[in-house]
Amino acid sequence: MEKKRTLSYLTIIMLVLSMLMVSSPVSLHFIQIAGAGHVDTQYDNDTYLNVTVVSAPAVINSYDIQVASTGASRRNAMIDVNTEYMFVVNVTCPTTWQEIEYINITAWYDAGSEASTYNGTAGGNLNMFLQYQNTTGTAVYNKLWPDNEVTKGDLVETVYNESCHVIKLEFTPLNQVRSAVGDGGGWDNTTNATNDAGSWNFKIEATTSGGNTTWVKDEYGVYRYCEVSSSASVSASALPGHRASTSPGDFTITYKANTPYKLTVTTNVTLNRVGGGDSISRAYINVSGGDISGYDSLSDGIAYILGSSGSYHAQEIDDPQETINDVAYHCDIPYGTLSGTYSSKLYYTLSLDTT
Amino acid sequence: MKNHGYSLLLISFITLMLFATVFQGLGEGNGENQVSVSIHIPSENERELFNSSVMVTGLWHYVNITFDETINPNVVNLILYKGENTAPLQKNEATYYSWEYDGTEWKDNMNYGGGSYTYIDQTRCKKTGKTYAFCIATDDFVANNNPNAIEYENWTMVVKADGTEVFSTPLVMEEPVASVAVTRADYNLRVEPFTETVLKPVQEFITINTGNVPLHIKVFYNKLNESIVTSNVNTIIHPGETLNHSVAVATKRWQPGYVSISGTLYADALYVVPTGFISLDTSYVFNGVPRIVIQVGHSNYELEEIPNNDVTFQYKKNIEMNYGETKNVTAYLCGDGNITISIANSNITLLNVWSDGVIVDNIQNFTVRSTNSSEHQIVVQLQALKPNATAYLSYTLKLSGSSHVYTSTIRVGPETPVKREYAENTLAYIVVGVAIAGVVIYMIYNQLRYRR
Repeated sequence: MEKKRTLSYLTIIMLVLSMLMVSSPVSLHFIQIAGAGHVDTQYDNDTYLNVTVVSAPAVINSYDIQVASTGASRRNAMIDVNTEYMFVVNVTCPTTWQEIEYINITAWYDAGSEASTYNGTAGGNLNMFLQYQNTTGTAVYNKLWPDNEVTKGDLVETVYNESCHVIKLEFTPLNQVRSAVGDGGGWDNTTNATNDAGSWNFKIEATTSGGNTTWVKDEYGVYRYCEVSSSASVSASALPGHRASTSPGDFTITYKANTPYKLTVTTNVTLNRVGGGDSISRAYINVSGGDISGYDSLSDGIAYILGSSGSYHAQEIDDPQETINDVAYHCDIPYGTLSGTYSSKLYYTLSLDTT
Repeated sequence: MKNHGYSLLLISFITLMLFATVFQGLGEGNGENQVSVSIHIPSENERELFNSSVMVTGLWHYVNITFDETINPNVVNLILYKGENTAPLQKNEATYYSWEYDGTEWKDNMNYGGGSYTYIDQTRCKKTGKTYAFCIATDDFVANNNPNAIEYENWTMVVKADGTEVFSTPLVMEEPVASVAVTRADYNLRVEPFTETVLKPVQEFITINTGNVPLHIKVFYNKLNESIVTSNVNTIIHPGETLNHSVAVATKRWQPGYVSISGTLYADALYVVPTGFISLDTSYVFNGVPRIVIQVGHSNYELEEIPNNDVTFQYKKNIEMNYGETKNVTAYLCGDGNITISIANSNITLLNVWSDGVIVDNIQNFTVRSTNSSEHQIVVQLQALKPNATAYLSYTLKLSGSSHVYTSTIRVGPETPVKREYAENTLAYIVVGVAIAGVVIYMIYNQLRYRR
């Protein structure tokens, strides 16, 4: 009887233990025996072992475009002209940093098409090519494009270890670098993608001495910028019945715009005599110079110095600013006009293409 | 001997007096002690270049001349001439100016403008105590040869009291350059449909006076002018100054769509002196500055304004789903009209469609009576049954005889493998197992020993 009871307890114990073992995730593979067989020793001197050392590509760990002074990211965001920015690239080489030959950064205005490419449309205000050159073992920062529309800043290189460096290439886009305000639907923040039309696309390529190139691409935008500068006033004198003209070259209009534009001019409807008593209609005023062929009368209230009523003047693809020094104003003073000074505002209107 | 001492003292005193007189006379020549002069454009500060005062040609300036108690003139003359030595023999608007206050009248002695114009504003001239404030200007005579620089000439300013020169100083005469730059004036804002709020973007647009002429700036908008508040306008932007302008837009209960607002920024040159027969003061007008586009729509939705109709459609352009997940995707219609809709799916299972809460029987062809007073919701219930798939959900809208197709792209995630997470809990299982076994063995032991 006692033995039976003991046996029952032992059975219970075994059952519990077996349950534990079954439900337990522990796999008790203590020993694994490989299926090794007998190997005869044999020599064959006619065969060779060719070892090809394959050069692995570099890895772009991270990248960004940042405000140089603050480090704030502007990837998939807007940047200003006349402010210094920097491309920041974190690259790891397969073995040593000496394998890196170039890190090329190309950037271009996409003109609304993601199929666009660097220098697809040439122009200093539409393209940029910055290069980190390491071919001699001494790093050099080259601005290969453009000449005058972007200024180069410093190269800042941080060595993390023998194979991983962080490169910062500083640059400042100048006044007429093409504006790009996006597609109006907000910026898509997807990494390594160019999917916002109306932006600047950029591509970062790391090339090793083995000929491997790895790349990433992304985007940023550029705010519209415009600036107009001229003399604070113009004046001319003549007797009634004669033409009072400013001379071409009397003053210069300097302007900067990073999008297509129109520059028009007009005055008040009448030029009023200082002190009162008389006035001259602006219909007597003609404008010459700029895009105007001959004269453009202000009788219709407007003269197009740059551009026309139906089209914008193309944005300059080169140079950081433009000047016009041949604009002149002519007033055919009617007979019988009282002597004096006839004054008006001279309105220069700069209209930017917002499409 | 005593007399000799007095004589020596007297001679010494006289010598000292002579020295004092001589040195005082030199001081009078420069006017360093007896006269102080300040030059500035109205509302502007005095400016210096190369340690000399600056005057901008063609603009009104105040020249404030203050005498000390030693000078009490009946007539005060203010003279400007080209060069740093003596006044030129040939006097004209480009070389020489002279003004005078004779105790009763402020005069332009040269009278270059004849009866037409003058280089003194008598209404602004004023004598206050020992200070004589001349409000004067010159012609804009400095040639502009370099558009990249504000050009200047070196001149001399002389002050005379009763015909005697009591002060002179070099003066830099600059060409007047009215110049203004604008940037950061592109705004893309968003507001929920039929929601009144005030949009206050962090972005501020910037104006910069890049010239040497003060400018008065103001802004108007082509619509909602009374609903938009712009900071730092209707004010003077001083030479070299940068102004940041915040924008706040009070929205109304707008239906979905885009609201485009075009601003016009004016910058008018101030304190320009009119000269010649015709005189034109420069004013700049920037069209489209600032430019504000407000998307009236839901966050992270594509907003489509259907051409030639007052109807908008909002849908999710990109959708992420997990494999096996069921998700309701909502699109919104708004605008007056009867719109026939067809919905198609690809690579994903479509379970149900509701139109404003009513289940749709025929998703290939159903009609929505849309209004512009509220949004009509179309809810599509999807289930992702294909892992690692790119699926599509297309809406075809037919109205006014034309069709418009809008497609959502759905990315379905991978199949989630069943993880053998217990591997990490092995030790815990062993401990629990051993503990249970110990308890059981202990119970059995007790039974065997004490129930006998």
